[in-house]
Parts: sequence; C-alpha cells; structure tokens
Amino acid sequence: METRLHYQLGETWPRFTCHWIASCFGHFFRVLLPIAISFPSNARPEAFPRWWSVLIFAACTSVLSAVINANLPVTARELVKSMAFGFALSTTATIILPGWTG
Amino acid sequence: MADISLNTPSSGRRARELGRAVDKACWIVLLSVIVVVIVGLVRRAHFEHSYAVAVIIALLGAFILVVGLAQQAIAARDLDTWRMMAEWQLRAAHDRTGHNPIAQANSADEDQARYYALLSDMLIEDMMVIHEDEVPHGN
Repeated sequence: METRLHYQLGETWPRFTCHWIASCFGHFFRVLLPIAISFPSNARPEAFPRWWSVLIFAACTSVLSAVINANLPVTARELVKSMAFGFALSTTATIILPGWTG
Repeated sequence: MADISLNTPSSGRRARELGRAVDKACWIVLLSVIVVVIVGLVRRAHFEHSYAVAVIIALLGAFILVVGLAQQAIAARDLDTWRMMAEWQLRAAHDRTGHNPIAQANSADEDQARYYALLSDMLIEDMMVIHEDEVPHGN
C-alpha cells in the first residue's frame, strides 16, 4: 500500500523524545522510590549509586522503550505506559545483574 | 479490510466518561511518578550534593514532557476542529441532495457509521494537505 493507513501514527522525534524521557522517569522511580517513601528516616547515604551512572544506564535502556513506543501519541495514558516500560527494564536489569544498584 | 474501529471514537456516554476518568487517573499517576522522582533526588541531594544536578535535569525533563503534552493537546483540538468542519460539509452536501445519511447511520446502520467516520477522516486529511500547501514555508 502506498500511503499509510490513516489511523496509524508515525514515529516522530518529538514522540521518541517524550517517551524516552518518560521511560527514564520510570527507571529513576524504581531507584528512588525507597528514598522517597523512607521519609523521615535517612536516605541511605552510603549504598547508593552515583546520579550520573543511573542516568547513563537509564538513558541507554530507555532507548529500547522509546523505539518501541515512538509511534504512540504524547498523552498521559501513553506516557504512563512508557514509564512502566522503564520501570520494567530497570527491574529486569537488577534481576540479571544482582550487584547493580542503579 | 483493516479494522476501522481502531480509530473511531468510542461510542456511548458511559464509555466516554470511563475514558475521561482513565485519562485523569493516568495524569495523576504520571504526576505522582515525577513528584516522587524529584522528591527522592532532592532528599538524596542533602547527603550527596552532586545530586542537585540530577534535580535540575529531572525538572528540565518534566518541563519537556509538559510541553510535549500541551502540544499534543493542541494538535488533538485542531483535529477535532477539522473533523467538525468535515462533518459539517458532509451534512451540508447531503442536505442539498435531500437526505441525511449521518443521522440514519447514528440511529441504525453501524457499517454506515464507520463508513462516514472513515470518509470524514479522509476529508480531514485532504483538507489538511491543502491547508499545508497554502501556508508558505519560511525555510
């Protein structure tokens, strides 16, 4: 078929970027949830990864979810799916790499 | 033939209300996740000051997401306007010929409703292409 069917959304860079950011948020959510809910106790000063290592890892793994979700519109519903994807990738990484804290 | 119902708006008041409720719930989840991330980073920044950079990056990311959401909302509103114009043209054309298939479709024939949904989408696409051609590009 020459043209795309009218109900299919194409992949665009703004969509890719938004879903990539949402997926990174999902990744950071998994990492930072223990700190956020442990209030008012301390934020575990010692056993915690550097922010840039978390960011680089999240950015790399989120490319996968961004590539898959790049044809979804940028709405709250679809961004929640990307966040869940980022959360899942982060959790998968911690299962596969037990020593990895980021 | 491909399933046209993928793109037709869900029919019925109850379905639309449910859709809106889910949209609002997703908004709340989205904002909660962003707030939890930023709060976690701020709390961590008390112990490790370099996390302040991460807070700034997270705020920037949240801002970009909000801008993207706003642009999408504007695009959706524009598409609604195009759809209204297309439906108005269809209705006017059929009023001239003496019958109104859209009204019939609403009441009885589901296939016909789908056909007119598809037709109005095609009209919108055509109108948008013409509109883009008319607007002079700066670059």
